[in-house]
Amino acid sequence: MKEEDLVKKLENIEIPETEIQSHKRRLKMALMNSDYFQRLSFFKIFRKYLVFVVPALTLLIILGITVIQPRLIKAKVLKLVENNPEIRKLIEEENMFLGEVKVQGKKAYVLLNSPLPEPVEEKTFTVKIQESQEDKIEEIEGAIIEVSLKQEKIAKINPIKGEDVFPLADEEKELAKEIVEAEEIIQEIIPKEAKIEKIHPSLPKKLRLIEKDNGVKVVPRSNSQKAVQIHYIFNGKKWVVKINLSEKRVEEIQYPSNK
Amino acid sequence: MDWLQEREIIQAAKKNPEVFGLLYDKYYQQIFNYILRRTAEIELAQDLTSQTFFKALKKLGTFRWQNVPFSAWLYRIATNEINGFYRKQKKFIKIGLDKIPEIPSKDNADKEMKTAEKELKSKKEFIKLHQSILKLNPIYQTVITLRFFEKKKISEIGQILSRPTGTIKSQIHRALKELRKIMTI
Repeated sequence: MKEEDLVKKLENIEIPETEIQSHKRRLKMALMNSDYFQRLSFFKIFRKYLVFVVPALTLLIILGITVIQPRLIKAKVLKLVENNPEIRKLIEEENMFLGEVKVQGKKAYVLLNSPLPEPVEEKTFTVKIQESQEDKIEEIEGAIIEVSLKQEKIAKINPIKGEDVFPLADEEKELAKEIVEAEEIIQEIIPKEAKIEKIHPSLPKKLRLIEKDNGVKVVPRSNSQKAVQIHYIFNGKKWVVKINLSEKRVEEIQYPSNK
Repeated sequence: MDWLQEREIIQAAKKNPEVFGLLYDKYYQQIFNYILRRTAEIELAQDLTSQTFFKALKKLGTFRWQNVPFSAWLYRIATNEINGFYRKQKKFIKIGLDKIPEIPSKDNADKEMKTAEKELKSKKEFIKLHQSILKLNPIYQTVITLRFFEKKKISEIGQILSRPTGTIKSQIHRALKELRKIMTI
């Protein structure tokens, strides 16, 4: 057979051409109900709400990371610290309170602070009598409690003293002495023979923690007042006078009982 | 429909089943008959047609207009399905048409099938020729069917098979040579 004959045959042959409507309809239904379009309609509805969902979700995530999660950690840390018997004793017996919490990596730091003094009228001061010589005259002023977040326990309790926060200049020491000497009542309480054992700053009541490399540092708040303690000693007995340097007045005197 | 209109319809069809339905309605018959002329079996042609359109739907999302008509893309998928079938002689899993309830009564569907079988069998010369064509390699079968039964131009066949027209011409020439040999035996 020649090629042109074969071509002619192929071009003119009667070819099958048929229609099966039932198959056409069924296939169409199957296609239009397929997963492809069902997924699309799901996404259509989803996209409609996505406009609201995405910003809301983003806000939630940001809030979670920046606000909620840190607060949860701080709450957890405070609970841990409060449950410590030593700390609880200080809180209950010495009226100390837990202040600022700072989280730094796998550690948290809690400020343990002594309470703010009761406001006193001008030209008055508090007088305290120590019941026995064994009683501590020197109070615990404050501490930084270091908590291990990994181990969920208190790692260290670092006491803080006034000198750590407010170093005292010589002029300030002199001023404190002058303020005491100007108070006649104080002069009557403290024997003339009593010698000054030491003068040191009191830890300010208003403190805050600031972060530094590998830990935190205690600094006074901007409105903190500077206070000083002068310890007098005579015959084995001690007197402690607290002076508010900012207001230039005596705040408190503690003196031993006569028992 | 010009290519610009078709392009817009295809974009819409990606998201809208109604629009896809329009494309389907337009090309179903063409594709079914092409597959029928390649296979000469009604039921097999139905299965391969289903396979073709499901594959087209699956790939529709990634279809990018490259100045090739949509029909050429469908023909390409159909060709691949046919060649794949003959290569593997695999048993086809019907694509979930059983899940869709039949709209006309079953009697109608059977009637239609019988009519179609009768129509096919009436084309005795075609059936005889088809036996010879089936002995050619798949590429030759494809180019012969597209050129002479689908009446496609060389350029259109080139678009369907993604080959230059020169290659298509020489493939048709070699296919005819082979077919002559087979038919002479």
